[in-house]
Amino acid sequence: MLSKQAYQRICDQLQAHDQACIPLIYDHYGDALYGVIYRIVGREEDAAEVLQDTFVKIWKNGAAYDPERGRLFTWMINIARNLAINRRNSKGFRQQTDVQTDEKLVYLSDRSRETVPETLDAKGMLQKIDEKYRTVISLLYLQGYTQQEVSDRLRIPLGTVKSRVKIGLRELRKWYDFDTTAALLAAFALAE
Amino acid sequence: MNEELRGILESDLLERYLLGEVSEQEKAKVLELRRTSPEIRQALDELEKTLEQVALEEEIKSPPGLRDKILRQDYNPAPKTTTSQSSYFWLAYAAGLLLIGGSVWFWQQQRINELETQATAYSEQIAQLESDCQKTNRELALINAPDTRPMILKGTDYAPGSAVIVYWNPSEKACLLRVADLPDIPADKTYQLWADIDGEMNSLGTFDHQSARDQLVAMAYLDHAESLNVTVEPAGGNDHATVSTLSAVVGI
Repeated sequence: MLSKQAYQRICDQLQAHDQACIPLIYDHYGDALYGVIYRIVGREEDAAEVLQDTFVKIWKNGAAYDPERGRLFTWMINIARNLAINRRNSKGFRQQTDVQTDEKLVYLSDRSRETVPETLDAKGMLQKIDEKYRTVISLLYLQGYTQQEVSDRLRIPLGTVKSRVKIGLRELRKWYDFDTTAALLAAFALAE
Repeated sequence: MNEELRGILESDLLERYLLGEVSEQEKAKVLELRRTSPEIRQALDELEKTLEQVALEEEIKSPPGLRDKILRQDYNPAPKTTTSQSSYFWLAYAAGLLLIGGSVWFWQQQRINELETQATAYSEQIAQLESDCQKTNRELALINAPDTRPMILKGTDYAPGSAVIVYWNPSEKACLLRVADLPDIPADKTYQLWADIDGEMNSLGTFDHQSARDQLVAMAYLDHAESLNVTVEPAGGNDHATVSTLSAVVGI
């Protein structure tokens, strides 16, 4: 994660409409935003276009970003997720995917039909928590599903989805603390 | 920490807020809480940082060349409200808004009327159900009371196979009647219940044998009754029992 100073600089530049923030945002958050977009739209060329749109929107609305309402990344990922979901639901996108013969892409056009979630190849903290929590958080946060869609898709009650989100995030939080402390200790050790 | 804050932290409101699954009202509430409560602010901040870390760790490498493309996009002039649009555009825009607003208003009015009608119907239904429920509860309480005697009036030669159930409660001075089986009678006749006291038949009232099949009917109660009797009488009831039409009887 970015240092507090670097994070603050990006926020300041964005609000001041200083274009220098664009490469900084891309270098720190571009692939994270792309990851979420790609998982939602499922196609490289669409994901690339949506990421471009995301940056335009971040830039246009940058002055309106209010740190009082939450962190910059939360704000950006919401923009990216919404644009990606809009793209996925757009008529053109559906028609395009429907003529695809590739099965994976065909069912992307109506994801509620799927019954088995594609397993996310988790790399970080996510892989450390129980699979049932990992699946729900991944579907909601990284793949743009609503809680109701997750409930339908996994065939578990909505209440279970909600409690899995809650417990899963609590578990992740523990790992987050653990990793942050470990990183700090490592930094101290190197500095010695 | 007060109860409300604890409740909010235990609910999934903050999680839904971060996942973008809140109503405008809930969103405003979270923002207000974030401003006024350090606990909520800290909880949100921690959740945000955790989720941010997840997204960063699960990033997917964007295609080569996309960075350049995005950096080269035209970000200037800094977006401000455009003033170069012709006034016709704004006129059309305003007219469009007015039309949409009008339709929405009309639609909403219709919907409100519909909902009001529905609400009235529902409240009438509820009142009816409540009153039915109270009646059933009273009947049930009486049937289950320790001094209530259930009795079955059996058919006579005049109407064999007849059966009438009576719940008889001397301490409550109550009598409930239900017909299990009674023959149909002409429209100008009615069934009447009698209590035999010292050899004299005293009326406990008339009843419609059809509706008394589906529900309990409250009848009059008299002390010192020695038997209960059902006869067929002219519509409206009779002062004296027509013993020749005795249809069902039970001794007490």
